[in-house]
Amino acid sequence: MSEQHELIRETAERVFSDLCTKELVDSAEAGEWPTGLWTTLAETGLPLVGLSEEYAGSGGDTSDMLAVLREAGRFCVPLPLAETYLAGRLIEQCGGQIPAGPMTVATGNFTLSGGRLSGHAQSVPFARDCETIVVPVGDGETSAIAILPRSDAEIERRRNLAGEARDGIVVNGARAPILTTSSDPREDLLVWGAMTRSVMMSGALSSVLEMSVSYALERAQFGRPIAKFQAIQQQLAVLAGEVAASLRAADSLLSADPDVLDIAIAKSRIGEAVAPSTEIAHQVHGAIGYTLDHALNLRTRRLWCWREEHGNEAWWQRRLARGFIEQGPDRLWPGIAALA
Amino acid sequence: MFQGLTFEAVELPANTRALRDEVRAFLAEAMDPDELPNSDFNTGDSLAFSAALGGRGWIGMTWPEVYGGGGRSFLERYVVTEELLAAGAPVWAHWIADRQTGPLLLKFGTEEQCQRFLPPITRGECFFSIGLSEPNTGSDLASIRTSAKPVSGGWLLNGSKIWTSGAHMNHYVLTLVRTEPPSENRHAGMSQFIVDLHDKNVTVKGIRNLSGDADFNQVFFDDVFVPDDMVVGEPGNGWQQVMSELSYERSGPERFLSSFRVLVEYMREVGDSPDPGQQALIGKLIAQLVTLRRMSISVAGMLSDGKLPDTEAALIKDLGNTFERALPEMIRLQMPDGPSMRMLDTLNQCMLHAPSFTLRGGTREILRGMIARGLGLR
Ligand SMILES: Cc1cc2nc3c(=O)[nH]c(=O)nc-3n(C[C@H](O)[C@H](O)[C@H](O)COP(=O)(O)OP(=O)(O)OC[C@H]3O[C@@H](n4cnc5c(N)ncnc54)[C@H](O)[C@@H]3O)c2cc1C
Repeated sequence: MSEQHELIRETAERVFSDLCTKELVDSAEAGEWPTGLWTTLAETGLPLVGLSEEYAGSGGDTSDMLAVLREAGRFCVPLPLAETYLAGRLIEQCGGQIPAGPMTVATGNFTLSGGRLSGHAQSVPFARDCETIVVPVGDGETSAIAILPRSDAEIERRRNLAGEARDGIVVNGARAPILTTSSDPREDLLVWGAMTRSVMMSGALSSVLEMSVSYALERAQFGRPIAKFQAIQQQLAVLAGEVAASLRAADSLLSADPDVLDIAIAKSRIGEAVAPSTEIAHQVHGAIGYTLDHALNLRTRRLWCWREEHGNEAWWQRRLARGFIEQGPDRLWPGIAALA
Repeated sequence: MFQGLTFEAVELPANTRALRDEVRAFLAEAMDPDELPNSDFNTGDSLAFSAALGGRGWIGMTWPEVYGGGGRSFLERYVVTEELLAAGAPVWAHWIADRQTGPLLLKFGTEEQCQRFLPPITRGECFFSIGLSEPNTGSDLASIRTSAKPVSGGWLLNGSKIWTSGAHMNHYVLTLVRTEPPSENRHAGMSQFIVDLHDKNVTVKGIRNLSGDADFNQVFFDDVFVPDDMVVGEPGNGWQQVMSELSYERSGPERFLSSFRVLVEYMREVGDSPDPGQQALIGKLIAQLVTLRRMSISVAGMLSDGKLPDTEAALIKDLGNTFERALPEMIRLQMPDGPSMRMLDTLNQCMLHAPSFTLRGGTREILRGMIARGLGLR
């Protein structure tokens, strides 16, 4: 990885560890937009990393942004960082200029008629907080995105089980700017979205392991740290295996321009790590880890949400299998060996 | 982050591509089409196959050419190994000599030992067993009792080893024995001997595993004379020598490919129109397998850079063994119409060997203990 890449990652880590406290995440979950955190990040240009300066992005490549998102996952950053990137990338792909401020993306049922956008979507991340909502409106013939100002959408406030804003939106004949593209923006959003969630989960998982190991070394029962009990050691070893596999799967996305197969592998493998990892982490933490006050649940609740978003494990597994099934059993190994 | 959890991406060098093709072409010729392929390294041996492989220069590939080796890289060896396993080739006969004995002799053996043993190993003509476990010594290897006393020109060996795989068909066993009485330092006073399995004072008794195969054995040493030139490395240094090879033994593709052929047959079984559950299962197993393979190649890269990734290797073996044991269990439940005969045979063969996956080469619990140490818990 280049020096530039490491610098971006370190900047993200520093800002998040300074500002993204438990209290801040709690207040965000309670509905308060973290203005200070966003402003600080915007000053560093981090929200638009990975997007070309030509289109008003901050420059850098996809892997730089994924490094930021992995840190965001570690620290449970309560901002639409992935969504801002996804919206920006869709706009960039259409040759549009990326607006400032937080953005989000919406997939749902939308139609374009006479230049007017109508439709609705569920679970739009942070819709209430974003100035701009990017909506893919491919209808088979034309592929396009609508740049919808939030003021043109009706917002129904909802939250996922991690307390992250996942709003319903309804749009009735809004005159939103339309940008056309030769690509399929729905598909792009799904693939890139799965990529962002994969690295975010890998970050949160590594943090779950760190917390669990530290806790096992601190907490004493029967006159010694619980880390000294073999039952605890064996559980944490399993957790470490899940986390190591997740980090490796995520690294395949960070290394180059990730292939859709790598994204499918990552979303599947990392999503699968969530159940055993969160189970072990909570078990090792005992009752304190089950409290709202303890920071463990910030990670575990997010993991339970993120594994579902942009296609869960089963969805991506079927997608991954498709090509291999077409090739047939005797091409399975060559196909696997070809994935460097 | 913690020690032992970083698996950097390692790309296989470009020259492995042609090599991979060569191995595939060789396998297309050399494999017996009437045998059901089995990707468990420990099941399936053929002297003719080992000799043919040696003839191609694919045993002892990384060893110096003066000893008949190929002078090739560790990653090139990795490619050959994984191709053989994935195809379900009968690799067992030469496996231990190639993976373990050769590298150990190169590291600790004398010039004479290298000249004597390595060339026939590379030709696929000389096979070794590993003699570590004993009736009262399993995971706690330092508790071995088989011992040797110095005598004129060598040592007199007494005791017994058990679970010695292949001892009934191999030429030698590389044993770990006590050459000094136990002391406060439990790891001191052990040595490694090469023992001729055809010595008149060595008795090999087959033990049948639950599949009915008699691949492992109990080996009895009854006043066996071991000449000094069959001692490997420094007398007393046996423990360190054995430990130094564990990463090689634990991180390779044989630690997650044992049940791979079950997946291949399963894909044949479901054809081109699997139901959604079958399709997801195939994708799930591929995603796990690719990730394991990438981690394993990463460790191969560390090993070829001269690092000692013990925790990483333990982690791969644990994850890999878990995968290869779970695979047949998941597949058997996703065949609503029942398996075909070929599928059933493949599955059965795997089921009967699966209990050994998480035992041989270090049990799951011992590996997890090593990972826990890497995490700083002990
Ligand atoms: C197919 C096969 C081939 C083999 N081939 C060879 C060979 O060629 N040469 C050779 O030397 N050996 C061989 N072995 C033996 C193998 O190395 C041992 O089985 C292994 O080291 C475990 O020893 P054990 O079977 O005596 O089990 P034990 O050590 O008695 O263990 C029994 C159970 O207790 C657990 N346990 C033990 N100690 C601890 C601990 N400290 N903490 C937690 N749990 C613990 C183990 O994990 C296991 O679950 C082979 C084994 C198999 C199955």
